[in-house]
Amino acid sequence: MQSVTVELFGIARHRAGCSMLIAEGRTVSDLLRAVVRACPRLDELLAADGTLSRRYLVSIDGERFVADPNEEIPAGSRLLILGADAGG
Amino acid sequence: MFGYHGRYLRIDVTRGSAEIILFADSVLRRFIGGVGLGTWLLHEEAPPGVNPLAPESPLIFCFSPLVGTPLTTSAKFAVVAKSPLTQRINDALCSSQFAIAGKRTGADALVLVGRAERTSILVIDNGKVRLDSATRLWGLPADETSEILREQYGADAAAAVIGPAGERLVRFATISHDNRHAGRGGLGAIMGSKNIKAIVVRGTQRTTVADPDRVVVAAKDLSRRSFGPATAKYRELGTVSNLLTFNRLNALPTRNFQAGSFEGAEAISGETLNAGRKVARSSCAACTIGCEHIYAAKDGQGVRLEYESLFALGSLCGVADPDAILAAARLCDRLGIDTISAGATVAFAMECAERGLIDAPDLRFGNSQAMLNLLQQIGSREGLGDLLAEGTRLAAAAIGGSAPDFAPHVKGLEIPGYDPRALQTMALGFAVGTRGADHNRSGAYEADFSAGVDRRIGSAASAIAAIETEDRAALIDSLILCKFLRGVFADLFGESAELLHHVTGWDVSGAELRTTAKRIVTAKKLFNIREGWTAAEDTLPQRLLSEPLENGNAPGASLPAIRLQEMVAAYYHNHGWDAEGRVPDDVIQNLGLDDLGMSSE
Repeated sequence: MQSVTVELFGIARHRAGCSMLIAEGRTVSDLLRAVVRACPRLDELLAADGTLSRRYLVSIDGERFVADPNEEIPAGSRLLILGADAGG
Repeated sequence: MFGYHGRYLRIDVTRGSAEIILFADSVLRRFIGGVGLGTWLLHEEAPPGVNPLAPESPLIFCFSPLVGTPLTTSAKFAVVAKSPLTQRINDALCSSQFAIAGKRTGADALVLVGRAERTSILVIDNGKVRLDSATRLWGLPADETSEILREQYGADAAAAVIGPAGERLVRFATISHDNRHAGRGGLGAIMGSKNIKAIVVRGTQRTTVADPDRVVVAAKDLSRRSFGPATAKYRELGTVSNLLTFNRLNALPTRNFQAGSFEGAEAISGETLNAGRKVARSSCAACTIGCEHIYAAKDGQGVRLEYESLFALGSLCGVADPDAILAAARLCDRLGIDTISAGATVAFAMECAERGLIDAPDLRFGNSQAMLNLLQQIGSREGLGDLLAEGTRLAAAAIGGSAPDFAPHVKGLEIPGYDPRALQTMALGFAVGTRGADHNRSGAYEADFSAGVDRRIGSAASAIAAIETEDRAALIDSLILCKFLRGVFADLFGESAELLHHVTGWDVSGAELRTTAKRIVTAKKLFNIREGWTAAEDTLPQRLLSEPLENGNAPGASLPAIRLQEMVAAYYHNHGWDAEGRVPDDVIQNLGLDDLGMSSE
């Protein structure tokens, strides 16, 4: 297990009521479940089948977006969660 | 005929007369309305090589079959013309009552040609036209003009107006209705060149729909979906919430694209604005989303603010003062100038001044008062503002030296709030866009905000994504619906076909609408080719192709010219165009454009 800084933007931040939190987990889905436990209003982060919700985007360090919820987070990296409609 | 009147009104404002011209059913079926139908009309009505500000240059207002139905976000109209800023096709959208009242005049489109002898209000009342004097309105800001017209013509009329900038032919002047703008490309200057201060529309002629019961069911379903998570950002936060996201991704254009993040971002963020200054939320007519967030300026006046205005008058100019940004946005609205082009032009001028290319000692990044002063000068074409009112492309050419290298435009249209080096599918979308650098006709940033591409290393995959978003935009802009609704559709083309079927009775499929979208995109391209476009225009400013975007200790981003050229080549190839971006005859024929008189000549 590792502690990861999770940054929240846009509608994700608005729902969470905070811009950042620390979550424990090895994979993206571990961390997203931890975020949902901490911020129940973000319960849409993961779809019922465990895949990433199409309403949100998840990025590692702001450098690339993640499609596979089983992807492991490199040590020292941050997870960013933003709304899928980040443009417009 | 359902959904349409089947005709347009060609109005000669020189003579104050109008003629009714019928649409062939095949034209309506192939171009639908809005941007699509407006593009066809531009081919028909604009003489090749016309000067956009000449009397012969048509200014086209185009409605759609969905206008006047209960379908949410359908109260929209397109304004199409040859742009005085780019000399290429420009299509802009605007919302609300003007669309509804305009269509009730009994026409599916209004085409203005000529030049009125005196400053005039063009009144279209149930299909009858006349010119009223605009003497007492000339020189007034857009909002005051609208208010006077409301009192003068009554609540059942709607008006599209220009501000002082349009009167003075500022090349990025807007046409405004109810403080919403057909903003990009200088359409307000065209209206001003015709001595038309305002267009007032009123009427009682409604169209009918093919299946009223199904339209009502579809409208209720669409409304229900419009309240859901797909529109939450627009409803609850507004687009201003984009700013901190872009800042974090190092994609926020800062100080004329010198950087991708801004140290003042938090101070001007949507979150800060929403916490301290938001006073109201409103919506266009016939809209259930309600995306308009109103903020209190220092004098207490409410200002509607979107992300594009926030970045252009904020980070792009190095301004970290939210009060100044709100004041600047309001000033742009009153003058009637496009906030993106205005902010970019000011930022460009700031850099010119800092480099000593122009003599303007106060004009420095971050000087908000200088920004406000310069916006006023641009709107009234005074002093330095007279040069900058020409837009960054022409201003840079006049200033000379290195200025053209950092003038932030494509084809003359200033770049919106996405740094192309950090969002390289969007970079392609900007480079190839028919109206210039454009985040609306190309939603290519959607690919960058996904796991499907590497946003900092564009590739051939970017081309496929860019084309898909252009096609989707062409359909939405021709139906016309609001793009903020796009997330509610699981199958945009299939569901749109159903809506269109209920309204028009056409036996139309999603596959047909895919072809329609490609036809519209290609028709816009063909107009540009006719007007002298070459592949050399499909590029980005030299700065963006030669200066990498630093990102502190994190990896930066760069967009070498060769990579952009490869993406553009892939874009042409995937369209079926030749290596020079020209449209082969077989593509024209397959899209049914040849029998409408369009060619690649």
